[in-house]
Amino acid sequence: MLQTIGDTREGFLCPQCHQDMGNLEMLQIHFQNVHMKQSSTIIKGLFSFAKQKLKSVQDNFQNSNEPSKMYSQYFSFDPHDYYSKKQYMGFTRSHYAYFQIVRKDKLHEIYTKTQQLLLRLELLTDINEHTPPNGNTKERRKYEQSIIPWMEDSVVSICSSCSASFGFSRRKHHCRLDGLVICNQCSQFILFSTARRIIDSNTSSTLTTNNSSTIQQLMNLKTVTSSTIINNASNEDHLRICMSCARCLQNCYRQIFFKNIPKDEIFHYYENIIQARKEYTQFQSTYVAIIDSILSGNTKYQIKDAQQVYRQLSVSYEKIDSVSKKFVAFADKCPNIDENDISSKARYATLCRNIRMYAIQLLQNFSLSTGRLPTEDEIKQARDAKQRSDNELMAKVILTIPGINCNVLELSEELKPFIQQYYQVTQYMQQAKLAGRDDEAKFLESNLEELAQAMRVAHQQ
Amino acid sequence: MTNINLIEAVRSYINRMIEDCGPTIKGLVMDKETASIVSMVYAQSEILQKEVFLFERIDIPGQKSLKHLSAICFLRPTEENIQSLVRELRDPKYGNYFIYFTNFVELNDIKSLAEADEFECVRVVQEYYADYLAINPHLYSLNIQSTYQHNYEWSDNLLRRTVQGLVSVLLALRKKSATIRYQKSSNMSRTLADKLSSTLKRQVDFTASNPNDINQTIVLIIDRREDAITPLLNQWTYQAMVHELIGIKNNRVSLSHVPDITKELEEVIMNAEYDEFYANNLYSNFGEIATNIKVLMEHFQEKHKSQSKIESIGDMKTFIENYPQFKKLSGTVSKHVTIVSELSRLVGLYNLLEVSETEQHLVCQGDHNDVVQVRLNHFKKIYLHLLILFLFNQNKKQKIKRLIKNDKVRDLDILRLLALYALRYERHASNELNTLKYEAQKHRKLPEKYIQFIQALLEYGGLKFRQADLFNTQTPMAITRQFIRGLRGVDNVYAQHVPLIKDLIDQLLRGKLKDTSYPNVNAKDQVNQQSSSQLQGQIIKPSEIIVYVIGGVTYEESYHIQQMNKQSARIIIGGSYMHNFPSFIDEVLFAAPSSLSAASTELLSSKRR
Repeated sequence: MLQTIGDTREGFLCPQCHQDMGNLEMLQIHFQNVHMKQSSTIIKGLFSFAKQKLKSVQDNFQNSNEPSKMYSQYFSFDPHDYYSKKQYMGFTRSHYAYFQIVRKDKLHEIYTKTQQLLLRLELLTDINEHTPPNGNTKERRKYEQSIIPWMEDSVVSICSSCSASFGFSRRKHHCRLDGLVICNQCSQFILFSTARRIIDSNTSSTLTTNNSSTIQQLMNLKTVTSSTIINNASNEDHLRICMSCARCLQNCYRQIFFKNIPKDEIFHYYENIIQARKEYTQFQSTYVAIIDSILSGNTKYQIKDAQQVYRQLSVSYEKIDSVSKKFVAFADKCPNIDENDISSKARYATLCRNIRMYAIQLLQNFSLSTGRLPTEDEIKQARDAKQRSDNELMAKVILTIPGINCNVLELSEELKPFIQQYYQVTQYMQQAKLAGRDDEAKFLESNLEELAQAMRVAHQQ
Repeated sequence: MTNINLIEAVRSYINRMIEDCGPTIKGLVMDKETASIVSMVYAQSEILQKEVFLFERIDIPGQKSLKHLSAICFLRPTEENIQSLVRELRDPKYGNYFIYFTNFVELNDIKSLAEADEFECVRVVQEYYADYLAINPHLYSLNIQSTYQHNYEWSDNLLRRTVQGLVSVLLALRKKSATIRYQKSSNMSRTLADKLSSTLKRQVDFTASNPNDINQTIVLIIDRREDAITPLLNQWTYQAMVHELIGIKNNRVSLSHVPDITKELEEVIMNAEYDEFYANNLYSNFGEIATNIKVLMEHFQEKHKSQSKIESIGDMKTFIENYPQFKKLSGTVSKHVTIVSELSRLVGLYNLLEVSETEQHLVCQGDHNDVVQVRLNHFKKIYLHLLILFLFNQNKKQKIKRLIKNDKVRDLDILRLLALYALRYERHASNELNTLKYEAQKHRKLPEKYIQFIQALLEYGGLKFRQADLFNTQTPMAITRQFIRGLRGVDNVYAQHVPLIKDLIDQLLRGKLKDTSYPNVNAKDQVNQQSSSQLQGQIIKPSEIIVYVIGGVTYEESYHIQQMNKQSARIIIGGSYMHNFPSFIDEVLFAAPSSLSAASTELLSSKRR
């Protein structure tokens, strides 16, 4: 490429074949004689196109009676915008970078606090021979204080949560997770089993089967802590913690819960619809190509091919229809939603109905854009038409072959492929000439002569 | 030239939101205002095709989480919305949030959102400036029903909302700065201009452009009080007429009061984006629509006939191929036929042709056709004209009196005439408003509200406030112009009136709009630049003009702007509200100084509730 660019020539070059004609007159004559004939059709096409354009412009002028640009003189135009008629989308501004920074800090803060609490929780709820069992024993208290030092009873006179002052009826208690002094009313209790589940599902990010059952059990809970111990009939081991630690654990639990919300089945079904839509559009383009080919009389495809693709199309079509019908059922049933939660049910139902509506619109568009299968008659007609135009072409070609003079109808069958070949080669040769590939054109020309020779022989036989 | 298209601007924002969210099941979360903004430019069926399956309001809380849904939150940056969003993010209903605010957001609000996003659901936080209702490509509204507080001043809320609306129009059309001109006689328009200018300057991100740029956008701020006449008139172009006689609200028209209406036509959507007939006839006058609807019906019947005889499989096939278009067409036909026949029923029922003719005479002098035959020299012409004017004053009074006695004419239309008369002859020596009022009370019981309205209107848009010559009566120049217009003859007696805004824009374009009446808000900063360019005698050509009318705009004004834009003007018009006469009555009464009548505001506030 670089070489051809470097190889610039000057002078009266023919724009078509790059021959240097010496002067303007010669160039004009050359162009008229050599190229005008070849490209007359193209040029003619161009001219008529231009004419049409001009006409439409004129029409525009004639249609508008009033001076159509009366006000344009009063407005300036931005030269950058001048050439494009398209309107760009308006300005925008993003705050996401700042948002992310703030969120990162906040999440980090939460994360460290949660991790700290979970670590303590793990130690406190760990049951083995080294740790004293849960209960109001001295060893246990010592153990608990070794994990998080308790605040001195003597320095605290009010509850760190509700600020009520302690007295005879309001006893002091300690949060086992951060050691603060709280009253009984402000105490929350967490079961050992719940605590273990939270720790387990938090530490392992990958879902093992063992783990998923833990999570399943966890998901069934509403809250991880309770304000009274009486509720726990089983008399299980539990820890007393303060409100703020309880909130932190509750949050952690909600995170786990949110991460593990199962995908609602409608999403799977929806993916099926999308899959089928993709298939349909793929098959459709093939189908259209086949039908076009058949209806223009070509024999590359048979009606069988079209039928086959058509069958595939209807499979996808049916699939979209049947799957989307399921959504109507979903809309009525609203599975997985609490019977009494009317607003959620309504929302779910709307979603499902809208998906069904979407599918219906999709199907309508599909059936409109896909033509039906052509009938035998139509195919026959198309083929006949093609045959006729082929014959006419052949008759023309024959006239150009030197040495052969005969009517198309008299032509023997063996000769036909020769003539087709001959026609194609002449086409190639013209293309080569137009593109300026002289060597190739010469080669093709000799080919043609050979062909003509061969045909003459065959014809005489 | 590039198109400036308000509808396209909003649509491209919404398209981008949906695209950025990706090919999943999406929900669109909006507030009350953004819901209208979206519904003005997008049909639900179209948005459905982009896999948006849920439409929700941010202010309706508490539902079961559908984690695998993505939410596109398109919200105004109001305090309530931020709070609702914080609540939402703390307990997310969706798995992903793509948040778009229609205007500038405080960094503090971003911070509270970020801190609430403990589940890390937010993917995008952007400002997309689609903060106005796009009614037509050149027409917008902020949907503020009552702009004026007592004594015709701003309330902080409405001023903020208005500035936001104007800023968003500019930014949505990719304009970073603007030359702001305002009506000097109106305090409200000066306050708005100042606030708009300072807001634009404060937003560093967008004001990087060169202030000496010749491709300036001009923002022209006008107070409705300057032209209280236009909202009083009956209208005869399709869109304006429907609004005046039936009422258009967010592209919806309620036909439930129409006799024998079928269920599906009780409320129809009139959106030029989706309705070809409507798009082509928005600005046609009543006569043209009647012809066009006839063509439409014939076309339909032809199709209908060909559809109805399905004999062969071929017929069947063409039927199915044409079916959606057919269905669409039949919907359009029945809708427009219903509306047009309702309009013509009302026109006949209320004798609107005669009313409108009288209105136009009141506003645009007498019937000049009588004068045309008289060919005298110039001065005599003017003299004669004045004489005729006087006679016609008498004549008009008689006409109004006759209409008052005509039982077919509505009270509402009598009120239009009385109001026009009151404005027209406010300081006229032989003002007989009281006689007319008396006549009106004698023959029909006008509601108390109507009588108060006339008083309130004089306060609102009387001579005391106005600076422009609304009736072209003061200067000999204006009279001559009016007279020449009369000599040329009038094409359409029902559409002689040309709204003041068109005149103002014409003056602005020709560089004749006086700086003393309509100063430039930045005049102080740009004194040098201004004076130098004026010395050279050249008018700065604007790239486009954006008009804002405090107190609302009318479809008649929209029509005139559209006619100018058809001739290569680049003008966008909008206001606080799309007024018709009934809504204008409410606004004028609401704004009336409390001294005028406590009863009227009471009446109104009870209605508001």
